[in-house]
Amino acid sequence: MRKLFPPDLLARDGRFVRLTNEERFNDPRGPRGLAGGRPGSKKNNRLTPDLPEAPDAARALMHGIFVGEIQALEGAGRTCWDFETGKGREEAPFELKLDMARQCWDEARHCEISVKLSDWMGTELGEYSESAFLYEAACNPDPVLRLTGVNRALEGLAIDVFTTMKDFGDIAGDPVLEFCEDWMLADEVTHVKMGSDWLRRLTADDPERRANALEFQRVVDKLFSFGGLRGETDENPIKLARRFRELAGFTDGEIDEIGNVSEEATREAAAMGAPA
Amino acid sequence: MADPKKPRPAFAPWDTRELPGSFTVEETAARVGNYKWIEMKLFEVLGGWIATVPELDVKLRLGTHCYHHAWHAELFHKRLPELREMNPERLTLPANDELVAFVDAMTEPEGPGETIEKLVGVYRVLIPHKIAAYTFHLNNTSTITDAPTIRTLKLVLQDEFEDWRDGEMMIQSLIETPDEVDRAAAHQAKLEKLMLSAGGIAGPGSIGNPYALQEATA
Amino acid sequence: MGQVTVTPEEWHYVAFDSGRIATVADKLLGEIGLDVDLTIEVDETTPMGRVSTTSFDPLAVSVESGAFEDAKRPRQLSEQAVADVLGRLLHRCRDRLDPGFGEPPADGELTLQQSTAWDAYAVGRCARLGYPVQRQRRLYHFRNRHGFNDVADRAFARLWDGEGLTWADIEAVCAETDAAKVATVS
Repeated sequence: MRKLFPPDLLARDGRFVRLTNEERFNDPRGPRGLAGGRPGSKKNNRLTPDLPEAPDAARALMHGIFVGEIQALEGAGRTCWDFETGKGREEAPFELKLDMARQCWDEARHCEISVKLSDWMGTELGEYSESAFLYEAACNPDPVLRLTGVNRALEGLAIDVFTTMKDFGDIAGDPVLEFCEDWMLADEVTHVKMGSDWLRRLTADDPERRANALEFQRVVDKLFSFGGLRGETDENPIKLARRFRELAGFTDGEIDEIGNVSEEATREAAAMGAPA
Repeated sequence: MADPKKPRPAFAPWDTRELPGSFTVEETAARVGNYKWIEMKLFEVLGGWIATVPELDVKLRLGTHCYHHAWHAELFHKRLPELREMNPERLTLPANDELVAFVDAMTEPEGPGETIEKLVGVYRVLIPHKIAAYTFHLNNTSTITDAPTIRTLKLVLQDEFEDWRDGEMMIQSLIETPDEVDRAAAHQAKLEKLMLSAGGIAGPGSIGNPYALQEATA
Repeated sequence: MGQVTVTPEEWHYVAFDSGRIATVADKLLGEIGLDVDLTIEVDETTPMGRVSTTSFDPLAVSVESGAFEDAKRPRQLSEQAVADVLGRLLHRCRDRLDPGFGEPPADGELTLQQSTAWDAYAVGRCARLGYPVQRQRRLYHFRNRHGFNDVADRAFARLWDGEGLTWADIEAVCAETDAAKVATVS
């Protein structure tokens, strides 16, 4: 089996349909708002149960989480395989691989949880299209950049998403949703902390590599703030979860930075909001 | 309760553990190093295969099993310094080149249509050989001096048996035609021959030598 | 039977086909027993999925393009989505046009509870017409509005399986689930 497995070859059964990034981002109708509002519009877009479209929006988001969990599982698995074990720049330390194997188990359980939640919410597996750009971040050939992109940017987003969904379940009185999101949130905090710890350990004597990794994280954070998806205002469907991010090893400055990236993405979405 | 001052033996009547074992400290360390190496190779390839397997249930089981074997590698890794090997990497080795050839062949399948081959390599060849070698070790090492290895082997074996059953059930559920039976059997035979050359996951003597007595008296 | 008109006739943002939409709508009108003209205005400039009935005489519905879209294939038409959206809407229109149903408030004045309960009744009838509907999805909507409890689930089943219900039945369901929520809280 080859090293570095390309995103377009990710194996799926016939229920799943993959979108290219071009299809995803080049819709002439403009970006799609998660909670029914046009992205970037100056209104309350936060995904809360009181919105008329909320249950369907929650279902769609849950499906997105499900395919995201599959890709996170695949990405963590590939980190076990793609790198030789060692302390060299292009290698992955044994302990890092152990962490990634643990993450495989966690992500596999998240997939299982998501499948059960899909049944609960009335969503069919593969009901919505899938794009592979989460996994794409897990293809970086530098293990430090990969860990930073996946465990700090993407798993960090997962903290924000799970917090939003947990709150949604709490307000809607949905005991199953709240229970599941709370458990997954606990794992995500662990994964982000893993990413933060490994970033610091592996770049302790290499400030340039650390800077590159943080820049890569910024790029991924920006991508995943597309359409003003995540941020700190009510315009953003997903709320930046400051407290859980602190638990996961983010400094206040780093959280502010993500907030800024998200604001930038929200402004860009507002500019794109009108159809072409 | 009896008089607390009354002496009792260190070994209760039901405790029949004995001192002599089949392995020296060095031999044990070498075997444990081989175990760690094969567990690493296994968890790495299970992780790598997740992205290549389209069957959703198999994909998720591989993720779970990947961690089991990583944990085994960690347990063996931690045992090595206790066996006087302060640099565990030094003993993290394949038993021989033939075992490397086996692992290369086992990890070769990649295509989405090769799930049967992937699973057969792991669950019909490698894991049964691991269970055999670990069981031999468990039954032959000193139950007193090597108790920590025994405890590790018991924990590991519990996973191995469960994963073996999981894997076998996945294989049985994937095989639907006589041709697929042949595919599975052919791949198993190919890998078994390589494992035969290797002599098992710890090399020749992985499960002892049943003809040792005859050979000694001949 | 009535005439179905779909606008626009030419599509620039999505790959929809007005004829296919009209065919699905026409079949539904017959099955639901609505002998009226119907205009379907699709806003193809937005990927959102909101739908509304803009007029009852003549009957006209407004649809954002996301509502008719194949969730797996952006900008492509899904006849199943068309049937799902229009089936629900047209059943509610038939109820409104039936004097025996009662007098529900205007759509914009419906509470989320009322609207979701009415939808359950409408989609249940689509299921009996043989359309592939997602019962669990509708139950989930209903639970979000009426509570995650046995009272709500029993009420949903009555609506889903119901025939010849009236607005008073919908209101009764809302009162019943509301009471159960209050009982749970207190």
